[in-house]
Parts: sequence; C-alpha cells; structure tokens
Amino acid sequence: MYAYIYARVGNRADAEDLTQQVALKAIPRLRVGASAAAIRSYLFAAARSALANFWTARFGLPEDQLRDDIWIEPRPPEPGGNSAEKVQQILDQLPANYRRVLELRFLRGYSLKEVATELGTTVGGVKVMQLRALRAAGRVAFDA
Amino acid sequence: MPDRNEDRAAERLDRLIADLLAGRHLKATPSDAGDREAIWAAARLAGAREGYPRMSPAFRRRLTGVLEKGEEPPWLTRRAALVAGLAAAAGALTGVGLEEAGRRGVPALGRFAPSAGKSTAATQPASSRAVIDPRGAAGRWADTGLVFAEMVEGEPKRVTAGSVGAFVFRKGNRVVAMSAYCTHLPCELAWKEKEHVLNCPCHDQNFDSEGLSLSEGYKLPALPLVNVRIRSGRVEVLGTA
Repeated sequence: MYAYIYARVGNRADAEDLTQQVALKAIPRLRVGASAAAIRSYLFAAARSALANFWTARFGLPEDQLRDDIWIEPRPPEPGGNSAEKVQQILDQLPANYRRVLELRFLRGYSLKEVATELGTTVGGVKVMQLRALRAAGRVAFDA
Repeated sequence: MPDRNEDRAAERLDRLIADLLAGRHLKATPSDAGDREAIWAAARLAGAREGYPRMSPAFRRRLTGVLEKGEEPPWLTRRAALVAGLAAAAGALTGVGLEEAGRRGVPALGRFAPSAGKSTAATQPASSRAVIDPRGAAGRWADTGLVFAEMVEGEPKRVTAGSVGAFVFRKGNRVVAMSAYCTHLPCELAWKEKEHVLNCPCHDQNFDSEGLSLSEGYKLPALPLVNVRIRSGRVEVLGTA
C-alpha cells in the first residue's frame, strides 16, 4: 500500500501521511475471516480516496474536476503490474532531449547543476527544459 | 527573447521538484492548478526513483504505535501483522518487491534486532537499521580469516560469507559489519582510504564508516548491518552456507 501511494505522490513525507490515514481508516473495519481479495480491494478503495483528497486539497479543485482516471484510479492495479512501467511508457513517447533531462533529474538523481553540465547548458536552461518536458509528459499521460 | 512567464513557471516547478526529490511534502497550492498535469508527471517520476519503495523502520514503528493505541488487546497481534502486510502486500502488488526486499535486507516487523552477536555488533540502535539476517538453516557463521587484534581502526576489510558481502570495521574494542552494496543500485562499494568513505562508483555516492549516506540531496537508505562477532580472537560474520 505504501509503495502504491509513494509511486503516485513521489515523496516519502506525503506517502507516510497517506499510508497512515489509510491504515487508521481501513484496518479497524476489516472483519476477521475476510478473504485476502476482499481486504485488498478494501485497502485500495481507501487508498484511492485518500489520494483523491490529497490532489483536490492541493489544487483547490472539486473532485469532479479531477475525475479523470489518471487522478483517481477506478480500479486496484493488476497484481504484478508495475507502476514504474507506466513511467517508462510515458518517457518512451517523449522527444529524446526531454526524456534525457527527466531521466537524469529524476531517475538518476542528478542535481540541476549536474544535469546542466551533462547537457552543456545552464541551470536556468535546465529548469525551463524540465518544465517543458514535464508539461509534455503530462500531455502524453493525460491524452493516452 | 526570454519568456518571463515561462521562467517563473520553471522556477516554481523546480522548487516543488526539489521538495519531492528530498522526500519532503509536495507544497502545491491552488495557484499551481494550471500546471497540475506537469506536477502529476513530476510526482510519478519522483515516485519511480526507488525500485522498491519501503516504509522506513521509524515510520513502521510509529504506525504500529498509532494503530495499537486505544485498541483492545485481542486486536494487537492481528494489527501488527497487518502493518507488516501493508509493506509486504505492496511487494506482491508491484511484482518487483520481495526478492529485492530480501536482497536489501529489509527486516520483517519485529526482526530489527540482530538475532546473535549482540554483544559485539551494532554501533547504533539496531532498531533503526535494516539487518541482514539469513533465515534459519540458511544462516551460517563464517570465519572471515580476520584476526581482531590485527585490525586497525579506519581500515575496514571486505569479507564474503556465502552470499553476504560486507565491510568489517573495527570500532574501539568492537567490530561492526555492514553490507558492501550500495542501497541505490546494487553496485559494489569500494573503500576510499583518503576520504574515509565507502564509495559507489556507479553514481559516485558515498557512505561514511557508520554506513550512512553522505549524499547532499536525497539521502540513500543506510547500509544494512551484518551480524558479526569475535570468537577466539577471530572475526566471524553471519552469512549463508
């Protein structure tokens, strides 16, 4: 559950808060003897609703404006499905320079300065490129 | 002509990204709603950094504490089991978890403390650190060939005990052992004598002699401890047969 949430909020602090919310809400309501599948779907329902609240609170938007599947996923993920694959699919659809800046900055943990050196540009240049690359990534994901 | 609006947006987004990458709360506000799709993408990318995101032992303890407070006794064990399950279920879910978790020495709930060699191991509270603890029959104490009296502080030795690779440090009259593999990608660490750090050549990351990440940005998890003891003056490490 923690991994599921972490993959969606991208930071430990929020992932811990949301995991705790889910645990507090869901665990007292689980019945002894419930099947693993039932527990699983209950926990995911609680996680999805916690994530929905998270995004609507951040952006000050009502939930129906974030109804898009991508914000509030309608189903639990397939067992064995890997959220890193989704990120890879998005990256694969981006132009090479956008993909490169995002891979270095996020997946390989380079600082802005290191990315700038690697790509032969300035820190300001990397910030702008990063903005454009993320907007493009968002478009790819949301249009899919 | 530079685009002022774009520069401002780039600056703002980078501040949010810096928080994400440092493990801090996402501080997006309604004024960021216009760029929410880019922020969503940033969160997903930041969330894909770790192959297998795990609850930190500290958070696990806090969560167990929160859940146990104010509950009737019959629930306690079940509850604790479920907390452990929150992490384990994620492993089954993402399909990458368990093997990786095992390799990185993620302890199951209640198994933080080394099962043996307590008197000689662990410089820090063992509860805050993962410990490589081969299960049951698989575990075997291996003579490393090191003679404790010949070990010098600040000169760790690389040892292998079956499938467990470790660096053994002398700390005063004790020994401490920790995994010889980086907690980011599993590259083998090398001791840099001049800088006094364990260095990962793959991404040039350093750990100090306590096994703690020296990264300036996102701190990597500490190197898991390896059980170690001194028997008849010789250093033994708990590895696998």
